[in-house]
Order: sequence, then structure tokens, then C-alpha cells
Amino acid sequence: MSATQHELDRVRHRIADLKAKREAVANAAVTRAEAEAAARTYVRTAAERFRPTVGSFVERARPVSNVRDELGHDPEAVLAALAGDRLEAILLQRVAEAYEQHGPGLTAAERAAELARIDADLFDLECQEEALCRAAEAAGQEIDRRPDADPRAVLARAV
Amino acid sequence: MFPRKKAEAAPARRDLTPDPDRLVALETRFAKARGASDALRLEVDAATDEIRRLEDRLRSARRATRRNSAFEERIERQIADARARRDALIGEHSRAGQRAGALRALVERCKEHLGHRPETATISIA
Repeated sequence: MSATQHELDRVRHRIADLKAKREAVANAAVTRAEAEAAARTYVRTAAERFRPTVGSFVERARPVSNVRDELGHDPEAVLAALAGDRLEAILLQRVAEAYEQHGPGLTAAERAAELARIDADLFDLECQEEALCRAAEAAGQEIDRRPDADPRAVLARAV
Repeated sequence: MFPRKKAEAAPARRDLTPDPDRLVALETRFAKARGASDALRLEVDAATDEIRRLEDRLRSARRATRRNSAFEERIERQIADARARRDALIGEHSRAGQRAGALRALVERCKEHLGHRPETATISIA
């Protein structure tokens, strides 16, 4: 194996590692506070959807309402309205367990900053790879190209 | 989240302006790689034909009234050699195909980056 091919393999390994890290950062959990807020919003908005009709009581003193229908078509709303605190406590407990397992998450700003750093490093490596490919090709060496190389580096006038 | 490796300094002469000549060079490499792959495919076919020819010869030799074991052994050795050659050629063809495939994908990515329409298959109806 030539020195260029060896160096190319090294750079490509680093690119693969960095892409895996990028995937991990992109898919990392949000912060626990954001997850808890989402759980609370879920319960609150579900409870807000439950609107039992009282027209028959008010207008004709008839014991008729739509609670049975609501139970059929939106049971979450009925559950959240009747036992929202309990449901919220259960969901928050599940969130806590999830964070104990997976560790802390990232804020949106932290995620964006980390992705920007990784993308910059990744592009540097893509340019290094392209420079090595060009040097090898200029020396008449047969080099396998990476199908998912960054076109910005591949097409650049100078890398 | 992850410790950042010390960034390697970008070369001072880096110019990221897209150069259409780079795409032309890449397309040329792709055409050569596809040609090499096609040529290897023909060699695999030729090697397969050679094996069949030798096998026919061996069968005829075994059907002969007066069998010649030395001759048969020689043909058997030739068949084994031809099979080994064909297996090696199949490996080379596979690698050449992967090389051409990677170049084709890269050419398409670069074209897309430059705003070219992706190539589509055309079907002619008589």
C-alpha cells in the first residue's frame, strides 16, 4: 500500500468517525427541562380538548351530555381533564427514568454549536482527502473515490 | 459534547470556487473506469467459455474407446487453472464495478451541486 493510500485511509476513517459523531449529536436527546415541559404541555392541551356539552342541562334540564362520545373519540382528553395531575406525574417519572438511562441532553444552542464545529472539521477533512486524491491521480495512481464525498471539496479550484 | 481535535490549518491557497473542469475530469475517470469494468466482464465471459471448452474436451476424452489418463489429467489441471483465473477475474471485475459505481455516484452528486438536472433513463417507444 502506498503512503498516499495509507494517508487517504487514515483521513477517510476520521471522516467516518466524525460523521458518526455528527449523527449522534443530531439525534441526541433534548434537555430534561425541555422534555418535562413537553410532557406538561401534552397533558394541558389534552385536558383543554375536553369540552363536555351542558346545553341540555341549561336549556331543558335534560340529563344529556356528550361525555360518552368524548370517551370514545378522545379518551386522552377525558383522562387528562379528570386525572391530569396523576397522568403528568406518571409521565414525568418516565422522563426521569429515561434521563437516568441516557444522560443529559443538549439544548438547541448547544446542538447547533456542536454541529457547526463538527461540520467545519468534516469539511477540512474532506478537503484533505480531495487534496490526497488529486496528488495521487497526478502521480498516475489508481485511487478509489468515495461516492459520498463533499462536492464542494471535489469541485474546488484548490483544496 | 465531544472533545474537538485540534483543527488542522487549511492551506492558504484553498479556493472553493467550483471548477467545471473538475467535473469533466471526474466524468473522464468514470468513463475509463466503466470501460475497464466492461473489459473485465468480457474477460470473465471468455474465461467461462474457455472452461466450457476444456470441460467438453475432457468429456470427449473420457468417452474415447482408448482412454489416456495422462491427457485427462492435463486437461483437468488446465480446467483448475482456468477456474482460478476466472475467479480472480470475477474479483477484479467486482472491484472495477465498485470503482466505477463510486465515480458515477460522485459525478451525479457534483452535477447536482452545480445545478445540473439529474440523469434519467429514457424509454423509446416504437
